Amino acid sequence: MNEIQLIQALQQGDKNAFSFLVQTYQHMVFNTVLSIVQQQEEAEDVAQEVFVQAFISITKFRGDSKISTWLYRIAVTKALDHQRKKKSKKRFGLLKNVFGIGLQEEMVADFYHPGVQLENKEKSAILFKALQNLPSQQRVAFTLIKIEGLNYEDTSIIMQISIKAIESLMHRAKLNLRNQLINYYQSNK
Amino acid sequence: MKNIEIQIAETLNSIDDIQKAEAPYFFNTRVQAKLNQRLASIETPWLPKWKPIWAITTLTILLSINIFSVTQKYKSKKTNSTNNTETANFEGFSNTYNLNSALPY
Repeated sequence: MNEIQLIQALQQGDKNAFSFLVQTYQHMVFNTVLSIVQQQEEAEDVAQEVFVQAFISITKFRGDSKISTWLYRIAVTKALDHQRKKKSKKRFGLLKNVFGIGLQEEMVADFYHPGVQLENKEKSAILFKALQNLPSQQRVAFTLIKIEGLNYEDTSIIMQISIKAIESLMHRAKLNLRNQLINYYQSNK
Repeated sequence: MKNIEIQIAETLNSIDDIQKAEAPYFFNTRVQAKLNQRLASIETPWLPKWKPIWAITTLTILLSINIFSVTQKYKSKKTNSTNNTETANFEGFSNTYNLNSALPY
């Protein structure tokens, strides 16, 4: 089944075509979402939502980009939305702490990406923690290029900005990460 | 400082040869189940979705009805008691001056 046939079948509500779509792109979507959400169960839930959303809004898909590009966009949007909601919940939790209700959660590097080599496990956890503090655009560009392994051109198509803008985002992301790591290692000397 | 520089470089390079994470087993089945659930909820749009705003609205309406009925009851009670007082006064007055209708004229 080629892409055009797949899109047509999906637009007709074909469940088998949907199953094929999930089978083909599940790892790609899951890896992207996991790198942003950084929690296995939550990432699975968000990744499921990505496919459900894709099925529901397939009629709006004009086919002017690849299915993978379209799925990347939905995945990134859903994952960032999830993070935003989680952060606002945390802020509310912090407010509760101010009034003496509940205990404050300790900030620790606790996410271990399953695809990282064992010897890099601890260092990558620190990097993933620092990634959470990047502005969303920088974070998405860094995730797609460094973790998903996409090139600058594909990333620019997904993010719908120029390659120059992607280069700039990556430069600023690396600078931000570097500054965070300097602070981290200086305070943990 | 040199030590920190090495650590930073190692940390930034720690994901250089990262492998892609794979979706968990039965992911496809779970997605299908979620989709069916979602489609079922879309097919019954006449069922109101449970949202806090509905709870607040219902509560406000119920409270308004209660307040209205209590106020109405209080008003009617007041009117009745005024009438009763007037009747009582009138009867007292009649009794005092022997103005009962039973009196023969």
